[in-house]
Amino acid sequence: MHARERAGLVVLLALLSGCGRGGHQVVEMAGFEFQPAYLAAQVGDTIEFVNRDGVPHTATASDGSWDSGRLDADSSWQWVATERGAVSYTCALHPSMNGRIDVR
Amino acid sequence: MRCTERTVVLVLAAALVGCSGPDTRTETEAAAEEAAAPAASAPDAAGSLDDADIAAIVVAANSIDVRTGELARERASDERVRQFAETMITDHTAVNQSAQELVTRLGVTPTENEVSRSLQQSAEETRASLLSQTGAAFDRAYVAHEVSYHEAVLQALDDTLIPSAANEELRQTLVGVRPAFQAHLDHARSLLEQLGGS
Repeated sequence: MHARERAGLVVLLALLSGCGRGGHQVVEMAGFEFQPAYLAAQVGDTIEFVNRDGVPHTATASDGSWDSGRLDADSSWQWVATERGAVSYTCALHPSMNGRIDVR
Repeated sequence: MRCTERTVVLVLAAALVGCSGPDTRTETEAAAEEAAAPAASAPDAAGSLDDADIAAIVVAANSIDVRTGELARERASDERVRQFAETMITDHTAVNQSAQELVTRLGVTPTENEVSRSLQQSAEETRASLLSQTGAAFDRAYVAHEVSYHEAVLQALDDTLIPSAANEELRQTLVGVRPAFQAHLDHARSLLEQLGGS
């Protein structure tokens, strides 16, 4: 393969690798709140939940479709939005913690 | 509100603002206790609480709720109550670890005082009362106690402990643990409603 063809392939692969990839958003669990409590996301986005509190939390979909399980202090878990719609979630250990993600 | 719950509120809310609360001791008991605990070492008003006193109160308050949670984990008949008790054990243990690390770093040695001793005494009364109940009655009594206890701790934090903390890092730690107590209170109130208590 000639240098020019190799360069073209590299550019093509670089472009393709960027196609279809969602964004990355972070929801922090801090002060016994999800921050931000409301998030607008796109299909394909990755939502990362990071526990900044000193006690365990969970991020648990209210419809039961996903659940981080117990997240200890400073640990995190990711959820990928695969379909449109609004999803409410809570902390199964602390029900006063609530959030919502609108996937568009 | 049951007698033991009122006692918790009275001990935390009243003692922390400087009242000694109802004294049910006999003269002999009172004399013995006073001999064992010199008046000069006991905070007799909110303003007299120093950081060592506050640290001891925080540690006592958390330890008591861990111990009560352990009792509930063993005896609760409702799975939701058992899970709540498990959360209390986990969270208050974590808060205590943070508090211990902080006071160690600050070189503050928690000093037992009138309030922390009153808390321990009240906790024993609560424990005895809870142990006399079983089944759904125990579940309701435990959760109702948790409502009262967290209300009292929040009031104590807001009215006395946070304003009295001299060290800024200790003060910020107290401010930082407040949301945990509020979340526990909200959870306990909701659970009590589900259990048909009031």
